Amino acid sequence: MMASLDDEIAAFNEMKGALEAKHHGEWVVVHDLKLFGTFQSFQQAANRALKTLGLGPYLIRRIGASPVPLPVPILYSLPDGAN
Amino acid sequence: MARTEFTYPSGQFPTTDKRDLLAFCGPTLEVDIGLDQKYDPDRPAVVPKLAQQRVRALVDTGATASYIDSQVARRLGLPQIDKETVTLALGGQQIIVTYLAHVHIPSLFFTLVGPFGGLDLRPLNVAAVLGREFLMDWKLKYDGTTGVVTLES
Repeated sequence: MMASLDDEIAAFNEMKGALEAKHHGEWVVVHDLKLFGTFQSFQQAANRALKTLGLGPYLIRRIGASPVPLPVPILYSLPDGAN
Repeated sequence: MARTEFTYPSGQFPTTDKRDLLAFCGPTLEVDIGLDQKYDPDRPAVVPKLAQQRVRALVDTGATASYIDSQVARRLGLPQIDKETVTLALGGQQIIVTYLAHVHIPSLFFTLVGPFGGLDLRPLNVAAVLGREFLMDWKLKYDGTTGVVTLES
């Protein structure tokens, strides 16, 4: 059965420590619970994933990056109860 | 050099004054949104074929990243490539799904290949928000006294 995005994220979390030690700041693609590759830019990661894996599912994430806070103007438009 | 002057949606506001429209709408551009699996960024002269044509995107210097309307993303079948719990600027948290998409700006003949966070952007009357990561490659000139905003490489 094909792994879901949640499964790919769980697999990434398992390998996160090793990736941060060697590939901090690079972009990672995780597919089918395995490391597909690390890339210098998002564009490189996305192009390779699209060409090889099609529409996925796969995870593309920057190694070592914290989630970006949402900007205030967008917050104004959040529906009631969204947060 | 690529250059474009921002335009404003017609008929949505009771004014045609550029200064008022800029204040009401913010700087917006017409864009195409979708995902063309055959698009090759190494051949930028070839425009991707994108399903959502001519919708508006807000250029937002208050945003770090770029966002796409969640309903548009789902309707276009854009692949979900990440999901994270994000801290809100005013406090609290929200789960944001990230989509892989191509956003083409016809007036600049430029295609952005990006991760786009999914948000409900309908109250802003835009289908996408382009943040500072997008602006890293452009010069934005904002003149509130005339309502003229330009973007150039």
